[in-house]
Amino acid sequence: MALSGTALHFSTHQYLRHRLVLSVLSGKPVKIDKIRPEDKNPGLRDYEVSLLRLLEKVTNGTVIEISYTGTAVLLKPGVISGGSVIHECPPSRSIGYFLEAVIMLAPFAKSPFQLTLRGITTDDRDLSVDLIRTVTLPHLQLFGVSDGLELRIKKRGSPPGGGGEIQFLCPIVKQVKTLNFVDQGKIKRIRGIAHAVRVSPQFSNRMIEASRSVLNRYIPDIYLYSDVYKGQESGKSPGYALSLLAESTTGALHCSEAVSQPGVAPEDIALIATRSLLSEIQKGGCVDGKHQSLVLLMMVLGSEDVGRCRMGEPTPRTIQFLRDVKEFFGTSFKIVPANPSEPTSGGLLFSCYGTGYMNINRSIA
Amino acid sequence: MSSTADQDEQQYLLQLLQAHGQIFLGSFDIPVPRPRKRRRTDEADSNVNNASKVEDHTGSEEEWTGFANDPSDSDDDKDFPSFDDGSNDDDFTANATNSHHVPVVVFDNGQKRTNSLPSGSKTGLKAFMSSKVSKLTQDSRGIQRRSVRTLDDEDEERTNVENDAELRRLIHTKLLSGSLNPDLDLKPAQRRKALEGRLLELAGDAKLGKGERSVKFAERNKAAQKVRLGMLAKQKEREEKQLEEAKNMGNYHPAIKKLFEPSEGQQTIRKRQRGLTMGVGKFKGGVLKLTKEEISSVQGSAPPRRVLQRGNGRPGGRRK
Repeated sequence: MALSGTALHFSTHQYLRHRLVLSVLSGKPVKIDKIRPEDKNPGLRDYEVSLLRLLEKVTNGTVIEISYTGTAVLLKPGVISGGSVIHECPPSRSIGYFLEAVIMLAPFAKSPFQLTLRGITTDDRDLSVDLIRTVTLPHLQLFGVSDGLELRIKKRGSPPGGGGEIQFLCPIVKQVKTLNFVDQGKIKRIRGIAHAVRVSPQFSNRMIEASRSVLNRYIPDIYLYSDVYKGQESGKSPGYALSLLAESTTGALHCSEAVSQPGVAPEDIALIATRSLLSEIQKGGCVDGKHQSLVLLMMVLGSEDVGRCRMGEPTPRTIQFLRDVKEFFGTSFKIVPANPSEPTSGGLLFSCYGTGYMNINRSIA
Repeated sequence: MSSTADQDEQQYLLQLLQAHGQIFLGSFDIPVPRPRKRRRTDEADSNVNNASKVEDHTGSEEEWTGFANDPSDSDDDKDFPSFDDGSNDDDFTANATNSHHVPVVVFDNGQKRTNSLPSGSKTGLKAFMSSKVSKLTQDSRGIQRRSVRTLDDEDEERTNVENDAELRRLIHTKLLSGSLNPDLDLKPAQRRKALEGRLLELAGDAKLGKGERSVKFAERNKAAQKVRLGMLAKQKEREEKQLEEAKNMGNYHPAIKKLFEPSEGQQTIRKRQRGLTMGVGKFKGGVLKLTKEEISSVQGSAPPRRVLQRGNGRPGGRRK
């Protein structure tokens, strides 16, 4: 294969998602091998195959080759076409897993995205659709992707049955703006969504009460909403969850969530979510841990200018992401303590020189 | 044994009540009366032992959050103290307890109630639960600023509109048609015309301030042709002069052109459409010409305004 010589080479199933995304954005082919070779059930999982299928649907001209055993993948990316796409997500992973990848691609599509995903809307591994709507998408607004950005939660679906449905609309941009976000501000408001499907609707109120009991002593501006989905809209399985977000005076968002577990009271779930919100806030920075890689990616793709952002400690995923970004785009970040006087606290300042990525797929209207 | 427990509880409740009362009083900016405070601290002194047992923060917390009624069974409260310890001395505790013996912790749950059912919660909820991300962040940035602004602006706007309406009403009922005023010493015929005009205005046949004029116009139509033409010519001349004068004085602006245009009569003449009509559009040169509005009016959702315009504008079409 002529291209495989130029293809970037990676191993293991870890960080598969962002490697695929970086490949599609940069247009460089990628070869990933040694995917779970020692496992009893080697090769790609069903959700990973499903993600590859989704990538194939939203792009045009993408070639995906999966080896016979499923332990190696070759992706030769095409152009991101966007448009209206419907995808069924397998019940092994929630919609958030797929949506996170798509959100990174969507602003650079040929035509605006209208993606419908069906499956599990909230689980304990990936971001729930509530957080994606209230936290992830507002992060895109920092980069000038805002008009027409929409996430409709049509139905909710809890694991294991699923049965949820969301619709994601994303506008296209020519180029993302350079970010300069160094002032983390002070927390001024806390919002939250408690939802309970196919269980007593009182559960969400109990979660709200419990969460308030902890949060009420910090700031007064707390609204926790109980989101009710009934009948057909509530999916196939019972479940409930609480997602919280805190917003600072400068618009920095921190979020957390907790999902129902069997045999645990809703109050405890709420307390878990609340505590993790507090510890997330404690980590500081303008971007929370779950959204570091999204923000860093957009900074890399920004116009040819120096983008700066203050963040907490990078997560292992972010660290690997930065390494991969360097391979795909050749961009490396400068990371310094935000206030040099006390390097241990106060977060880190990430700065990079944008690649000036232009949306070449965009149809000229 | 049981009596001491009773006493403990009573005293504890009393303390809570007093602390709460002080917070309540504090909200009115009234200096808290000294003796009361001293008595309270005395009491706190007298039963330090009891109180310190009862006034465990966990206990008082339960009193107010209300979801863990039985202190023994729920394991939530085990987790509370870790958060309590840091926040004991902040604003949420009763600041009246400057005795360093027993801090009485009272969570101001009155505020909590109002928070959970705020007046603006509906808009906040709508914005927050909206699927549109722009609304979501607009809520975070705009709502407070907007609410402050709207209070001022709306007030001003409303008073402005009210003043305008009042002025207009005054002008037309008092100043112009004030010809009804007995002090003016009008002749009976003039008074009659003024009254008739005013009646027309009230009945809605004539616009405000145009009633008397329309009466005069109708009367003028009874005159002989020669006289009538003369009057019209004179009126036209007068209007031109008025316009000229306004221009010289600098009172004229194209935006108020209408004020100087010849009043009723001439405008109402409309060009009748000749030949075949299809109900909609213009048939000209073998081609039926439709405007965009006409097309949209038959394509379902036509704005109601449009219908009204058609009714007024083309009376001929309706008669068919």
